[in-house]
Amino acid sequence: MEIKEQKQGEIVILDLIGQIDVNSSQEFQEKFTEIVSRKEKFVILECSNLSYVSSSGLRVFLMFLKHMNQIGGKLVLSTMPEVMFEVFEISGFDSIFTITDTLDEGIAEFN
Amino acid sequence: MHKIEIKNKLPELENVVKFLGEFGKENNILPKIVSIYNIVLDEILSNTIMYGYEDKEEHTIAIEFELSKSMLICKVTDDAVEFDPTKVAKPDLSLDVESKRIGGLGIHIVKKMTDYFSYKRDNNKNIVLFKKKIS
Repeated sequence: MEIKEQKQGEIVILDLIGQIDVNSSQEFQEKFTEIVSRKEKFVILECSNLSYVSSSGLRVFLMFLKHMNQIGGKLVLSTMPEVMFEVFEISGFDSIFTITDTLDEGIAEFN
Repeated sequence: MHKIEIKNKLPELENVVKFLGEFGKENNILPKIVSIYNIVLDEILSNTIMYGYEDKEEHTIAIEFELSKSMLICKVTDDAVEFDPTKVAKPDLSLDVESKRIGGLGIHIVKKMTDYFSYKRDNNKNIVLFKKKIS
């Protein structure tokens, strides 16, 4: 996978590209560790360029959410492809994450 | 029938992703279906590779695909310790953020995303078969 980063004010937008499976979830987790050490509080994970996420990837999404809740930050997931949303629904993750249809709606969540 | 064999090492799963991508293109299978098969195989194969072997030897895992009229059939055969994934208990999905666990979720995803999922132990081998409608 590839992760492109941009910043909009205080919001970090991570564009996740490719797939998050057992192998690539390591990279995703490294990015998470970096975000934690930088003390970022507002993060959007933009998912439109992701083809799929397996349970190894869900683990990292959950780490992200737990951390952001702990530090009083906010995490938003935007533009999730159909198959990925299906995995979130099946896992009961759709109800614990803030998920928006578009990146703009994701950004609006922070206003 | 199309077959790929891999060793019991996690990086080998990338070969499965590549193989399935090419197989999907050649047979005009929707990218969405290819993604679902990638998810299912990631769950099943990573489970076997991480927890299925008690020795440090190299083992082979065979993954076979067969296309019928409306179904894509996939069979995974390995010589790992006996393990029936169809009997894995459903995880508690109602837990809140702090109590949520990933354990058991992978197999739950497999069960929900396939139309047919079976297991048998034959000749000291685990044989997992799953199918999904492709049209």
